[in-house]
Amino acid sequence: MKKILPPLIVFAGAFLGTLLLQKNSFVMQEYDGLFLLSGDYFSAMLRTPFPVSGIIGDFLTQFFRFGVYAPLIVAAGVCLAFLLVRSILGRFGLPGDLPAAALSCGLWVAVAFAPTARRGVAVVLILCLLWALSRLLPKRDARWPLPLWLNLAGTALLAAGAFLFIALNGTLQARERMAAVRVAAVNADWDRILSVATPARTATERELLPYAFLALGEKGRLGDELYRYPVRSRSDFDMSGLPEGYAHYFYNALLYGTLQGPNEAVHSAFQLATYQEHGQSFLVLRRLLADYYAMGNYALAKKYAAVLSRSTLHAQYVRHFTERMAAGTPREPDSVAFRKEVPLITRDPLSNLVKLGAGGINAPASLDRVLCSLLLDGDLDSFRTVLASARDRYPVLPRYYQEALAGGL
Amino acid sequence: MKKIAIAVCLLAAGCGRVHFAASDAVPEIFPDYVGVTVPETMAALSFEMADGRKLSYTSERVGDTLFFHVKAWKKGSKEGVAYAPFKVFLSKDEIPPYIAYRLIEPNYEGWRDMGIYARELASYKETAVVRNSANGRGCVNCHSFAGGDPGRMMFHARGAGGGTVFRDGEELRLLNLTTVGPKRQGTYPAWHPGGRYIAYSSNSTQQSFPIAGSQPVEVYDHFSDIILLDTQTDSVTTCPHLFGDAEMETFPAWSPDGEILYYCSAPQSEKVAANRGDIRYALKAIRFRDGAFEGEPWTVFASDSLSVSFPRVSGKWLLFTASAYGTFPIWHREADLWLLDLESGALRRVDELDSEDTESYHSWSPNGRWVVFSSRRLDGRYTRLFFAHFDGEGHFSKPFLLPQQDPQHNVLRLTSYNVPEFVDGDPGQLTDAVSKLFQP
Repeated sequence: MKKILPPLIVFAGAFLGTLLLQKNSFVMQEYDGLFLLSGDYFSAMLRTPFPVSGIIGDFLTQFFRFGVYAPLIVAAGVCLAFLLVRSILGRFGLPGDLPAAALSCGLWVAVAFAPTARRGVAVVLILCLLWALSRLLPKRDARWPLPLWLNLAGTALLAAGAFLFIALNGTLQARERMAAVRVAAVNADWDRILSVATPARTATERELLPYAFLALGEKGRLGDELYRYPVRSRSDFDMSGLPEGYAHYFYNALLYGTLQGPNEAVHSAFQLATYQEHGQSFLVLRRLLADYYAMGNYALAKKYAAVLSRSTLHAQYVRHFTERMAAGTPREPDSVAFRKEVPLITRDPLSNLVKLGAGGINAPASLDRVLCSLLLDGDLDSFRTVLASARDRYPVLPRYYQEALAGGL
Repeated sequence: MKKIAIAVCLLAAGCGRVHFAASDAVPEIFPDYVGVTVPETMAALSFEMADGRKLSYTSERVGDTLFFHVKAWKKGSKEGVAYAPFKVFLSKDEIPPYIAYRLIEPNYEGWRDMGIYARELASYKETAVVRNSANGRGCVNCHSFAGGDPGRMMFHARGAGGGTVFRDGEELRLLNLTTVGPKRQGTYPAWHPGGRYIAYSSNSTQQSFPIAGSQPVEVYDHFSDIILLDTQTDSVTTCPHLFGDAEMETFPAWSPDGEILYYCSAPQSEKVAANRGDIRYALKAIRFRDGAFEGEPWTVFASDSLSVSFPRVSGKWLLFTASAYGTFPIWHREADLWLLDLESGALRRVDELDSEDTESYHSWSPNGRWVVFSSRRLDGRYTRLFFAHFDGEGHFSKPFLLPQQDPQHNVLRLTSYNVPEFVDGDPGQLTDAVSKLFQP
């Protein structure tokens, strides 16, 4: 019983630390991850430097989407590392608790920083191998035994140290906030976004700003709160003008999804996948399934459903869509006449919003985004024109629209 | 295929307890191999019930025909159906042992991993000829083999320090076409049957994305010309009829004797994006002799409702892709294959090969008896390869999907097959060697 207390301390520390400090960061690992029982997945993984740890890591990462599983898995891995190290050292007659605590807490910190579970799994696998090899050696008598209180106090101190290191690390904190905002945006939890991406915080973490505006738009508060945030230009508002990359496409996929422009949402999702480790991910596959179902393209939606069904945890998600498709009717593809005339997307979100509107696609937030874009561009003439054409949409004119009309901006 | 003839395949346990009612109908299977004609040397056709039921089957060979006897039942059910046997016809017409193709996600602007792969047709073995890990994840594309010779090939490797990679036996070299002649990069290649010259189109290509509707991507050229590379001297020459501002020339293809270059051409448009729906490419040709084009080009086929891509000639037959407009038919679901008899001028849409969805790139086998073509008929997006037998009289057999060991592979693979080309042998694996060309 006494022997179980030190690893329990490490387990509890890693569990609470991951749950309280990094929950969203691990959800993002699932969003960016992929595990499929398919030939192409395994052949791609077998070409990587450490395929076994990669495959096991990908398998475990699937569970990170659901709240408590990532903390449990991290804590279990860290605890297993503790037990293995202690057992290996015990084979040589050495006291193992404190070295095991030091190594397992180090592993916990490393896992906290790692972008995927792969390295952590690799360490545990290597420890398993060393442990197995140590079993081949004769067991030595215990030397230099330490009192229990010292082992417990030392282990607790190391676990607390790891907890504090993670809690106080600015990089990890910022990463967790960004992850929290992205996870909330994927789940359309606009209040959660606004609780994290506050005006004060967005002054220093400017990548949060577009998400704050996305949430304000969906809440119908954009015109009242735009300038409460430290917005300098339209690129803060919609990421226009910023270099293309993961952040850009992650946001755009969400933005155009909420603005009911599925073509550009799918385009951005595909682009996002090219920045993810496998060139594809659970997040993108789920997005494609949902978007193509919504677009009435059942042939493609069924393909992505079939692909996702080769993962471990998507049975319910896939069933949700397959049942609806079985009861629904796919949309007929567009005619050549339509396709040759349809407007093309541009790099300018404002222009795209106008085109979507002209095509009859008017999400509730679209008008506010157009008006705020014009305000940020300083194009007050266009602002007045657009607002006049949609004046009946506002029983009470938002604060900053009033100020703009009064010449106060 | 011999394996099929003797195969007794029980794909699921438990069918022995099921009672099977006889049916006059043939089974609906995926992939649809009912009534197809396949080369004798083709890998075994693996299939499943299209509706997901369990199946077991046996096959027997009678002459040049395989008869498949299929039984199917729902999992857990004690009632099943024993279907009427369906036929697969075996052809003794030779087919090259390999095909090469590029695998790439049907993405928009970007990509991560892509590569040129070779597939042995007698088995399911697929090997990477070159992956884009060799050139820093740049694009590798437009592979071409001189007369199907696996030891003599070229492909473009884009990105920093990129260019066109030529392989001649063990020798690999990188040539940046933008540094020679008219300083234009090569795009679509056509290797002259004599092996010395390669005609390239040089395209300024742009992707665009419709803001709504079912077509996700449109691709068009702002301009394009045709250039000629002499692989012995690495010199690039042009011809006024194929290079200039008045026309956009693309998709070069040689006649089997190498005396005619076929290509597609459309008048230059100033606002290509806005006018994309009105740009149609005609099929043209020009004579070629002693390393130079000669005479005036002439129009082989032009239409105000069809735009021509990918002309490919075998004997007197010219197979091309036609879409309603534009120059990138893979994103046009109306794109179909058409067959032109160059002697009689007879033209027809090849209904036996075409589907409701896109048909695009295609290649003839050297003996003109087989064609491989890309189609998006499975799901509308992910291009898959289909083969069909040609009788030499203008008719194709029912096309069949490239066999895979697991039929679901066709569904689960998240990449498209581009530019299928027949190859006379295994091209080998070049990734490591190519990566050395890109080392500083």
